[in-house]
Amino acid sequence: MATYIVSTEKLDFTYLDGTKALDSLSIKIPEGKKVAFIGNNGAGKTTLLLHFNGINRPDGGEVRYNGQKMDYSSKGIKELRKKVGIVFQDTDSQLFSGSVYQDVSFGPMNLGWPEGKIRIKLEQVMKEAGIWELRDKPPHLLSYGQKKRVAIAGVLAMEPELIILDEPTAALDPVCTSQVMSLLNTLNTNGATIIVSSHNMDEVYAWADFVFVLKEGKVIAEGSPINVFRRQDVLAAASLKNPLVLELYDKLVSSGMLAKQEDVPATPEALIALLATGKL
Amino acid sequence: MLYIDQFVYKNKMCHFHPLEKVIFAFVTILLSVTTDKMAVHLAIMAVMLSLLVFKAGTPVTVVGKLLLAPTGFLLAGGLSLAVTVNVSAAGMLVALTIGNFYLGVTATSLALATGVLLRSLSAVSALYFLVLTTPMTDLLHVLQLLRVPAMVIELVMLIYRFIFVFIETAFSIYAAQSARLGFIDFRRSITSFGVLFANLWGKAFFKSQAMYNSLLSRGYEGELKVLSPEYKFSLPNTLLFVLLELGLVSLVFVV
Repeated sequence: MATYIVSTEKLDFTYLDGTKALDSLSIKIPEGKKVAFIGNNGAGKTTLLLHFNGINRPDGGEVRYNGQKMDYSSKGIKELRKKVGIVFQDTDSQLFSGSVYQDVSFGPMNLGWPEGKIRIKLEQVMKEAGIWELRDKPPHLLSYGQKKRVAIAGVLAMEPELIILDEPTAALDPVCTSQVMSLLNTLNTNGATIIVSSHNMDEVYAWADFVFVLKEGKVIAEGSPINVFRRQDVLAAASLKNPLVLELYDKLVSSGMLAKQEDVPATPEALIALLATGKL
Repeated sequence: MLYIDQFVYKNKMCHFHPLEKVIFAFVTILLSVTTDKMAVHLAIMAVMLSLLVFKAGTPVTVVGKLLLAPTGFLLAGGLSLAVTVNVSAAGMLVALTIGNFYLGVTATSLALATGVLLRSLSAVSALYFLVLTTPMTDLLHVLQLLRVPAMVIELVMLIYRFIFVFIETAFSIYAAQSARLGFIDFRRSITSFGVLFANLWGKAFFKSQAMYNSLLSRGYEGELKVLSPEYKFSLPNTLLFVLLELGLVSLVFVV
């Protein structure tokens, strides 16, 4: 039986202004997977993600971490936030310090690690994120893509077992996007569970192991990307579009240019490779 | 947008230990405040500005523009010191008669004005040396070494960071407004500026809430603990500063 790192049970959350952001939402997030949340703006993605490290607390229902009901005492929250890292959408709100190095050091310092261990970890994650050269710079002299990578490094430095990224590639250029996604793959290979929210269907389709579709605070579909993206009713209801690769593949098959495959290609590269070998 | 910071991080004295630069700058400022000798003030300016331009590689135009700001103020202030009003023109080098009074410049008032002007400029150039060669975070590190309370350092750090977030936010609102002719005439400008200001407040509150959430997520418990890069003292650099300082101090006794 698969184990679930985070799960929610009939989760309700209403903002102070009366907006019902989450409506009796129940999900189970499998451990060690790459999980994506998709849904139109205002579907409740960010609100939900903020429940996973106790920033938001449920008005009704409950959130479980590793099967245990979340403990909202200050000690419980502290333990939780050691394990769950969140990279926020707005990087300017995440970077508070005058230099990149200091900013990334903030999390590990709060964990109370010895200085030597922190310095080694900082160098390692900053190199992984490709920002080691920028370590002495202040955030306002960085580009958006660089700031994003600093924000990610600041979370990775804490060695979380669950890493949550709220729209990590929104407004990033293609090169930066692929750097970030491959970094996430490496982290996942090393054992971390990754959760992202995204509006980029191509990216989600190619990258995720498991997808949740949110609409008006409810889950309207979940499953492997191919199963979710095959459900046109769900995509229409959530105002989402088909991934390009999938759409193109379907067209090629229906027009008889390509044989129907057991494994539907997930990436443009896979589709191109198929075109070379799988012709009718 | 032009930030002084861009030059600070590119300057060739950036990697010097901040404590060396801070001590050098402050001893020089102390010297400038305590001595009356004009030659010393001129020497301080010469040393500080040439260090900036030749050693640190800060563009002359940047240094010049930055010096213009205090010079303007100082000239205005110096003028009021130099010009005196009296009932007789005795001792005045140049005088203007206004009714029964004489408006003029005496040798002492001129000396006083020049003295104040030079002293201020030499102190400012020492301060500019520090500001233009030392990044803010390095200065905070020195404050830490001097055992300044953590609360004060955290405040300075947050204010420094938020000045830029604030400017960037204000500038993006301004750009969005002027793109739609928000500043086309005086009346529209007044309205637009009001809207800009009001929105800036809203955004500042929203951003501070978002930042608080992100700090909490990284284990914030009321103290912004961060690790600074490791700075290294360098004997040649320290020697350079000590020699220059000794030269300036000995000038006080020579001239």
